[in-house]
Amino acid sequence: MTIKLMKLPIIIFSTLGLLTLISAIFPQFLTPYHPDEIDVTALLQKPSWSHPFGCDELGTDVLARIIYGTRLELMVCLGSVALASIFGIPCGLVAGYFGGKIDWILTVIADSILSFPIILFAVLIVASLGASVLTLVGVLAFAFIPRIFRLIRGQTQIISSLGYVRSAEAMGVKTVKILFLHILPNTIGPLMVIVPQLMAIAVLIEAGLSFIGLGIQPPQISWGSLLLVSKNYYVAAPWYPLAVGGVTTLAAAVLVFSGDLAGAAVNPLRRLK
Amino acid sequence: MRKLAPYFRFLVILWVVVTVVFVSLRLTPGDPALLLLGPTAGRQDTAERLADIRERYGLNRPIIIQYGIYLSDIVTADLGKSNRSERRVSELVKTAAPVTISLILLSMLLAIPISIYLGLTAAQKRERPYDRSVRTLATLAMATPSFWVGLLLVNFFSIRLGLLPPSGYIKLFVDPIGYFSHMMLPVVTLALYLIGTLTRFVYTETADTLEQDYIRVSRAMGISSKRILFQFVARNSLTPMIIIVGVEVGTLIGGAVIVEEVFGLPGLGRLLLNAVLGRDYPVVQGTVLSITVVVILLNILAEFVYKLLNPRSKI
Repeated sequence: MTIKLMKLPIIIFSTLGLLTLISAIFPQFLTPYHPDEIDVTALLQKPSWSHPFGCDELGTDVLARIIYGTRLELMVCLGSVALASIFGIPCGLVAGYFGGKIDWILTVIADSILSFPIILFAVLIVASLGASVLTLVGVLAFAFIPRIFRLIRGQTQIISSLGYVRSAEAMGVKTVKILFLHILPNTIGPLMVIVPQLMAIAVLIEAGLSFIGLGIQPPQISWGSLLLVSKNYYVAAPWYPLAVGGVTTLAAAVLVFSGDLAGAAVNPLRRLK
Repeated sequence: MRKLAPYFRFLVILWVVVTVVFVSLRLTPGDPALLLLGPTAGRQDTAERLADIRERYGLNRPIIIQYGIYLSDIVTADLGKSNRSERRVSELVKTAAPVTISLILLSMLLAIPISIYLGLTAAQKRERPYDRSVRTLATLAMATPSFWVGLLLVNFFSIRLGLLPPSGYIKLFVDPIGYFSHMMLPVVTLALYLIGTLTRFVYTETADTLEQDYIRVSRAMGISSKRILFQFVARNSLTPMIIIVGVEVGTLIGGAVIVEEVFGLPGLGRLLLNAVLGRDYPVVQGTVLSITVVVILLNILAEFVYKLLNPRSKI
């Protein structure tokens, strides 16, 4: 019963995920237009069958720009989460497994990073390093490390008291092996819950920062930079900002929903209710 | 001693935050003095001013001494001066802060009652259309870029209907009606995000509370479900909200920075963005630092109030 109920959203989400992946890797398969193609006969053209989301101020197909923007968007999302995991997971394992002083120190550092509002921290870093894709990925990764750290630390604390870990210890298995082979695989479930949520945050922060000119800079295309460019056309061509904002919202919402779904799948108690 | 441990932790957190800000300037490639000086085009006294800055922050001395000077400045609340207007950073922050604070407080006042109501009632009608639509809408509200909603609202209410001013700010004491009409759209914009997050939170908490035995007993005793929900359940599932609201203050300030930009409000976000664009590094650093410290203090306060209201957490 539960599987039947959960199937529909999973089908929808995987289709959307596949579409996102195709638009990031092979955008030319999804649209006949080029995102930098200028067409003076189609300036701010209304949506039609050949241009489903209309055209922008240079006559470029809005849908094509959104599709081509996916690549950078996905790079920011995946890059920041991956970078944060590289630092957050080992620290979380160590803190959760050993406890004591090292745990206290790592937790305090994590809490300190968490107390920086992400946008403000981004402003501080952009002010000294300048705005670029790399800065953005770095700032997001820095903000995500403590979130991944806390999750892995908590999971490790629970798991390391379980019998099989205890017996591995008693058999003299190397600590590194216990951490990465015995404990880490059991934290994957909760990790799958938090990763989509972090990616949703990344989409929204990217949009916000690019909008205030501190994220991705035009002519590079991301959804945030498209939202910035479309700012002036809310009256003249409302479909343009509506399409870009709608896609951004949809992407973030789908990510949050899939985090919820993963949560329900991981937590059997929630599933029963 | 054990009672003091959490406060010691917060002191360490404050110290780490202050240090991260210090390090962020020193890690920048190039001369930190140039960054602090800002744009110098067409000024005769550049060399002299650079030397002044080096002397003031000890930039030609070992990093430890630089750090010492920096820490003692922070302790005496000296955040330096803007490199554009020569005004003190603390003064600039003080002038801009009331706008941002009132924006955040008003959105909380709007969002908290709405999300409590939605979260409680949705949890009671679990898995029915009402519950599903509330939860879907809450997630959507959370996932919408706030500035986009803000611009859509401006276009509808200000440009199409001409009901509210599109941007600008009037002080509350100068013209209360003008104040509220200018604040209305920014507050709604910011509140929308908060309603999304808080509704989801209240929902989860309430759904858990509703499963507990004392609720089943009260129901068996024939107490009306309205009374159970708004008196018994609410008391238990709303106390943790204090902590969440404290945590969300940080996110809200980030959101406020962008919302202020959309609506042209002269708050901290405006100050910060103008400083970034004008390469006024001392103002950026001082503003980020003071906001973060306030956020930390608010979180301590939230935790304290939570413990006061919830004696169980003391154990």
